[in-house]
Amino acid sequence: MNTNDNTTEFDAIVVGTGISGGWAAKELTEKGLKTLVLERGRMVKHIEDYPTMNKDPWDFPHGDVVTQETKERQPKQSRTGYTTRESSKHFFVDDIDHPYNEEKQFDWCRGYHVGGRSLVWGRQSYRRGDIDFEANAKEGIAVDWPIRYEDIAPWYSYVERHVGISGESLSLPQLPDSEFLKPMELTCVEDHLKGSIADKYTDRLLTIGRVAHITEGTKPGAGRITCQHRNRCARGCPFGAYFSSNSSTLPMAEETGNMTMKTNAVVHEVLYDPETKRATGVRVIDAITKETTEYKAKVIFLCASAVASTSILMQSKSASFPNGMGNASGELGHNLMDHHFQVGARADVEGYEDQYYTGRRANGVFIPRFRNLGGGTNQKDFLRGYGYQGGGSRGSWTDNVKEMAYGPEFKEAILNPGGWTMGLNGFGEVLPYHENKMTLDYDKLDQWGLPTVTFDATLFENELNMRKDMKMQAMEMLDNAGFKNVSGYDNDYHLGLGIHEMGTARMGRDPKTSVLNGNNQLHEVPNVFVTDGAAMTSAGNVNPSLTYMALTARAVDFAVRELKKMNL
Amino acid sequence: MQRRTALKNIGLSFGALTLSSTVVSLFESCQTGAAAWSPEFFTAEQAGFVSKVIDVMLPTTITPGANDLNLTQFMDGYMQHVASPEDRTFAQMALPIVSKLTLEAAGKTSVTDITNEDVDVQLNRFLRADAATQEARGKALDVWAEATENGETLVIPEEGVAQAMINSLRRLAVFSFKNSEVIGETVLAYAPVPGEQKGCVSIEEATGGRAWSL
Repeated sequence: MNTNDNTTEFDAIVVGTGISGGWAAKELTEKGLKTLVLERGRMVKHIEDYPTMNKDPWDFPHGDVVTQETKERQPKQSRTGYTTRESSKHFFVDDIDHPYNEEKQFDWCRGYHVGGRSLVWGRQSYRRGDIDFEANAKEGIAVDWPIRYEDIAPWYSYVERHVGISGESLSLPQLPDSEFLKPMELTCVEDHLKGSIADKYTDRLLTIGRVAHITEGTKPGAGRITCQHRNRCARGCPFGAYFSSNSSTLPMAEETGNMTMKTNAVVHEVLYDPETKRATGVRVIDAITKETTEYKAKVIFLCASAVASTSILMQSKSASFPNGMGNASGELGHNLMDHHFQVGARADVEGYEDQYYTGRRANGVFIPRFRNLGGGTNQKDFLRGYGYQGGGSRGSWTDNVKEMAYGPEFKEAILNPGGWTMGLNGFGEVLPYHENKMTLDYDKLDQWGLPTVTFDATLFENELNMRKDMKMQAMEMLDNAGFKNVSGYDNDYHLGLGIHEMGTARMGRDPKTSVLNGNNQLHEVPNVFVTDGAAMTSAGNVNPSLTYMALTARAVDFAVRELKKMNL
Repeated sequence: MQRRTALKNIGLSFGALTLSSTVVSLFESCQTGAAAWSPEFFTAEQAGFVSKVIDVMLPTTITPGANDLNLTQFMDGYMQHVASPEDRTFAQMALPIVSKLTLEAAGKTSVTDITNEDVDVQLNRFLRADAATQEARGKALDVWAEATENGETLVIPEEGVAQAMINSLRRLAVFSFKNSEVIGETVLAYAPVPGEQKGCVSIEEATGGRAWSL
């Protein structure tokens, strides 16, 4: 990738290289635009820069654990409990170097490097349907989405054919099917639960998770082949088997010869010309030398993540935009959402002792939303709904050893698979609340002299009521399956931990109440597009990355057509 | 196959295990490392005591045991670099209590004189006690911990402390054991690149009975 080019004028600028930025880079360059791609972190090259991809637990000094030293440097990134293990901590930021503030606890987990969170994402990939796009309007919540399923459906198909989504077709109205590669397999106890749910319920079903893994054939990019079921995805995949910017969109963008990439480039402002009423470029601080550079372009795609793109717009102040670019509505930074989870149930499963599995499936089961779909599914205590992700596997050695306690027989027993357990973890929709917000603190500057982000967001009654149902229904389904020792849980969840932060520059029909239009274009500055999580008008209850990819490809298509018409 | 035969000929025999050259070198490094090693977290005396405890928990059988794998060294590093400050503080208080109880029961005065039989008595006492006894000890520890937090001074419930410490040592020993290269690659079913995924197959077909190591 060309990092020594001194050119400062381009056709397009893309800020960020994660799921959205990678797609913007690929689409813009393939359509012939000379495109500058700016990444605030370091270079991560596919395969070459995955230092832990082949390591076993014993290849780390203390096993693949979170050390005390890591907890000191990355205390907030460690809140997940898994992101800062030795095998993946280098793909998450250092909290000392990258501080933020919390009026209320907000778990902002992110990585500053080429590929961003596309390297470490959960890969669960679901379409949204009209039940999601119509919900705000029907219920009088926040503002209406400016698009419907038919607007985005072809773009879902377009990105899915590149990405590769493994899953099972179900023809559910609340969860439209993707262009699927063959599904992964259920374990014996998951299949048991699937059968039990089919027998005892008419409103719900269990399926295998839909996941961005190649399960047959190959996909375009840097030599992407079929999943080898190592379950080491968050370290970077040497097979390119799951989709990331590094393995797919960025190498394809580079292939065109139209991409210039600059790393360590901290974009903090979009430049504006009040005469033409257009953005003219971006202002960038070099993360290492701290020198400032301005780059010019005809069209700008902000794909830096919901919080970072919003932060850039907030910092883009001028006489025309005293409260931040595109913020005439006053909604910029508001309506911050995530998916709430860490509530559900688990159980022990008797039987199936002589059954096991092969491969480490980097996927779980999925129970699609079954609440508030109309008729008898409607709830009086909460709006919207939730799905469950989970799995059934053979668990802990402690099951084997109660009598033996220690000694030769104990040692033998811990070498055998433990008993089966089954868990269901709910993922629920968070409504868009104006009062859930991020702001900038100009009194607390980071090492580049830039304001730090402050979060002030929490769950409200709708989510709290939903959580009660999420726990109860999970317990009931496990109990109905005949599983033992069913126990429900509702752990201490704070917004952000879902790592699905979104909504802070929402799309809408009316410039008075929204930041972006139906093409992810700032209402007030037509050549600035935001296609990451910031654009979301409502959260839905499914994992969002697939939607960001589809929105990005769609917005680029629109932008390039508008450019050709000289409208931007 | 030839390599395995060669290894058996040089005297490394672990039954039906598949030994790789890395395993041999690991054994060699552990043996030389054991002599040169000085603990970071444990005192030298505690390290010797812990070695005896985990040798009784995970003895050498047809598969390598705790001390063949130098697990004390791993556990020491884990306590120093991974365990929480609370766990470290507890261990520093509790380990001397465990060795004291062991010495008292054996009628000995020096930790170096403790035998595996002496340890066995204590593990039997704390890990195989009936449920009511174990629960009572746990409760005494909770009461003491709460009182301590409230600034009160109660007599330390030594049996509760020892039971908790021995359980912690066992958890850490098993973690260390299963995260050792020899066990992970040659005893448990090891498939670094499985290639295929089948959801529901017989355990015989999958691994021949062992747990997957990864």
